[in-house]
Amino acid sequence: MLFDKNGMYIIGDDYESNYDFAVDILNGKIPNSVDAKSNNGFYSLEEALKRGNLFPSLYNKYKNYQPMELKANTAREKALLKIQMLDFAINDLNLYLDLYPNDIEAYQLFKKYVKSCLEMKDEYTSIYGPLTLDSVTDDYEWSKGIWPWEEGGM
Amino acid sequence: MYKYVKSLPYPISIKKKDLAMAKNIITQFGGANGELGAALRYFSQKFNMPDDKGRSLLNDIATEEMGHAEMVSTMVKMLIADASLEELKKAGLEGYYTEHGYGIYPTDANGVPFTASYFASTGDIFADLSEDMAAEEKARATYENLINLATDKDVIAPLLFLRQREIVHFNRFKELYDYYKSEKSKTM
Repeated sequence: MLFDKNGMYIIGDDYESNYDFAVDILNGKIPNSVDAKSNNGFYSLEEALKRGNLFPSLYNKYKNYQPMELKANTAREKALLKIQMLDFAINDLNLYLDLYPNDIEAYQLFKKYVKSCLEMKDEYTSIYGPLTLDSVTDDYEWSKGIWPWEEGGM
Repeated sequence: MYKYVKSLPYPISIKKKDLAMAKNIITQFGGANGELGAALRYFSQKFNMPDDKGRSLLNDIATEEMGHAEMVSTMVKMLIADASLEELKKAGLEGYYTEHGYGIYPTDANGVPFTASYFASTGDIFADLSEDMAAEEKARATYENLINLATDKDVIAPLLFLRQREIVHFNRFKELYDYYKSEKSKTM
């Protein structure tokens, strides 16, 4: 085998020069994330952001690292985290739909998430200020508050 | 037109200073396999994509990569926050400090500045998409090296997220490449 139990590539004494990757992939011995066009469901919003992937068919674990819990401390961070989850799912569906625009199930989910994301952003903006310049607040608040690269900015 | 959204794609909060890790991670901003190069590569190539699938996918992944460049820069900024000159020297960052102070500048882990020669835009969809697949794999490998070096959970979590995005993008580019190949074979 060219891979150890952690999926790391190894060239050792047992390296065979005529080793055929394709045969092992066909036999399912090497986890193949390549030909996973078929869409077998979606992760939940939270699971998707945690993993960085909405599609279980494409998910590829690294060694024994588990997806980590998402941390949000303040009420503002909690509200923003929910928006980040929606933004992430919308983005991953967006890339998928670019290639498969006729997938009705995926587009239904996309529409549902876009609608809730707009609602949540409106609510967030009314309390904590704008996330984008096309939302209107009583005073000019865009330049104020924590920016994403500052601690607590998320 | 580009519009800014005032949030990161994935939450980042790093409390533990780690200058050595900052020096390594900055390569995913300005290194050969970094996010800035990725964003500019797909942004440049999108103008020559022949159909809706290609134009939209290259445009949308380029946009996502800009958000990743901001994530990586944010990690570096948090990892070097409040570092003393002594600490910077100890971590081998005095050269970086001389040129950039506490600012963020796109370089690789060895201080080599970003250059557009890290990517190509050939005007040939098969050459470009092959490069894009390779670029995603190289970025994945770099993230794995960084994860192997990292010890802080708050650093590992966003690195795992970014590694996973490379896998998704690789698959999408490959699907597009295979689609164009099969379309081309029909015309021959």
